[in-house]
Amino acid sequence: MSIKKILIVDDEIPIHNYLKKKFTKLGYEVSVADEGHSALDRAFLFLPDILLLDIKLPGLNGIEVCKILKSDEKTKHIPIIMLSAKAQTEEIEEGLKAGADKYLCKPIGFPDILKEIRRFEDS
Amino acid sequence: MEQTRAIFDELERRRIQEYIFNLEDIQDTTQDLISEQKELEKKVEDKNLELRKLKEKLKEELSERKRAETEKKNLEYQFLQSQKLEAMGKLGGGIAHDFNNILTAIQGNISLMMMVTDPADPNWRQLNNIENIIERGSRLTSQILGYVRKGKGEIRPLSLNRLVEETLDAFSRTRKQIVVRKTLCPGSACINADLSQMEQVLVNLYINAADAMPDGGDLFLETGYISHDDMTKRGLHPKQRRYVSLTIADNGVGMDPNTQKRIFEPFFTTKKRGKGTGFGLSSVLGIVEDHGGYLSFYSVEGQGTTFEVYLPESEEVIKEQPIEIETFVGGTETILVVDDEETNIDVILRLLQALGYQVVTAMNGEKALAVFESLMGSVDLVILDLIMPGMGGAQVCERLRKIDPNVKVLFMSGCETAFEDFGLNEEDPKHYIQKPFRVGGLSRKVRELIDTEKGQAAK
Repeated sequence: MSIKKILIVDDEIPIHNYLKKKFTKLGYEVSVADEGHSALDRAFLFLPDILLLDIKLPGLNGIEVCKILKSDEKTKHIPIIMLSAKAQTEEIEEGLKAGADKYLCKPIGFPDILKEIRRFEDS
Repeated sequence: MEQTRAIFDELERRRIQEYIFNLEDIQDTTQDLISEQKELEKKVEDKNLELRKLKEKLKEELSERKRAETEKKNLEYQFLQSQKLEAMGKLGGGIAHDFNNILTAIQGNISLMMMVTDPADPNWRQLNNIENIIERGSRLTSQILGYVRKGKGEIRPLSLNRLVEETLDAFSRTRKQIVVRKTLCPGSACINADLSQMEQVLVNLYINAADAMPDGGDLFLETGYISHDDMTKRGLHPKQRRYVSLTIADNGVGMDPNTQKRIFEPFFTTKKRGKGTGFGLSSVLGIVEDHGGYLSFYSVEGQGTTFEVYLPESEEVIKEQPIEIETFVGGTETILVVDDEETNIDVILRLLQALGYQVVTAMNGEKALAVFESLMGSVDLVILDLIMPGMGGAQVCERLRKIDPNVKVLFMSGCETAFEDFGLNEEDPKHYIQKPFRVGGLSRKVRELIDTEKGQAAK
């Protein structure tokens, strides 16, 4: 699949700013949300080709957002990469159970994030 | 406990994540800065290169402009020089013409006196002296105006050695403070040249050498033969033949480089007003080149100057010129003399009458034609001045031939270049006599032309 649009959901401004800058530089169209409800709004409106999703969010958390998106016909096909500081085995399992296609634990370098996205592109 | 650790772990991970991204961002920025710097450096280098090229181009343009300016100056200078030369040429031709006319009158009168004077008479010698002085005067006109050189020189085989001896003899008598050291080559060093022009070359070079040694010195003279190859070695481009060389050297003041550059320019002189004409070396060069020769020199300031003249060696044998004894040949035919100068008409009239001829005269072309027509058939020869106000000699001749195709004409002129200027046939000099002339020369020319078969003379 070809990935052109990326939605980044993270409540920490420095993080989503940095990611937005990097992906934009690489030529992707980037949209950002810092809260669960607005993440859903953006996902339905923007219809990204892939979603980078933090779990700890104000409002709806990442698990809930993931569940909603994966249960909607309009958005269930969108690959979701969870990006979280929660690294306990149960937490990872919870994320994957909620429908995430990939679970990445923070801390992680940008090159590794990009590698994962490219993997989806190749598949 | 487990839960607390997980929370701490999560917090720690968040913190580290922030650090990592921060670090990456800084790395990226650094990388960007480095590549930006490199780009800037490249830009600066490119600009520098461009500047260097521009500078180079500018330099070229500047030197090109400088060169063009120098060339322009040179051309302007040359143009001025040639204008000066042309003006001087015209002036010179006029002076020669008038001066020779005056000499003709004097010479004619002397001839008349000599015809009635016994050679034993003491006055005869004085008269003969005056004749020689007139000849010198006539030579002087061509010498002063040496560079108006189209005059008909009389080219014949001459011995350069003998010429050197003769000219030196006269020269060293007047310059007692100069010691002459000459080395003449064996043989005669024969060249084909005009005697008076060659004399002019030698005398000019002697005078320059002497003037360079105001307090006395040595004048070295050397003649020799030089092969084509040796000439080439000296940087000349001569024809394939042997040359005769003449070296004239002094140990006088020499010339500075600026003077050396200009010595062949007409009007250029280092001598005091009234002493030098500025024509000496320019006429020397002209004459030498006219004779197919080469002139070179070198000079060191304070040490002296050496001139070298190279002239093609003559293959002819020098005929000893017998001492000319003036012989007059007369006649009784009728001659029409046409000249605008009253004194000339008068003296030629009396000379020809003294030789026994019937003479009629005319002061201009129109009158000449009228006289000729009225005497139809009885004029045996027309003596015609080439340069006259109104109708010139050549034009008169043309009109005469329309009246009588067999008319015999003898042209005369005081201007050396006239013969060529009027497009006359220079192959046939028997139709021309140069003023001033002696009675013997005139009488022989007249007789020769009258005796020519009719129809042959009027070619």
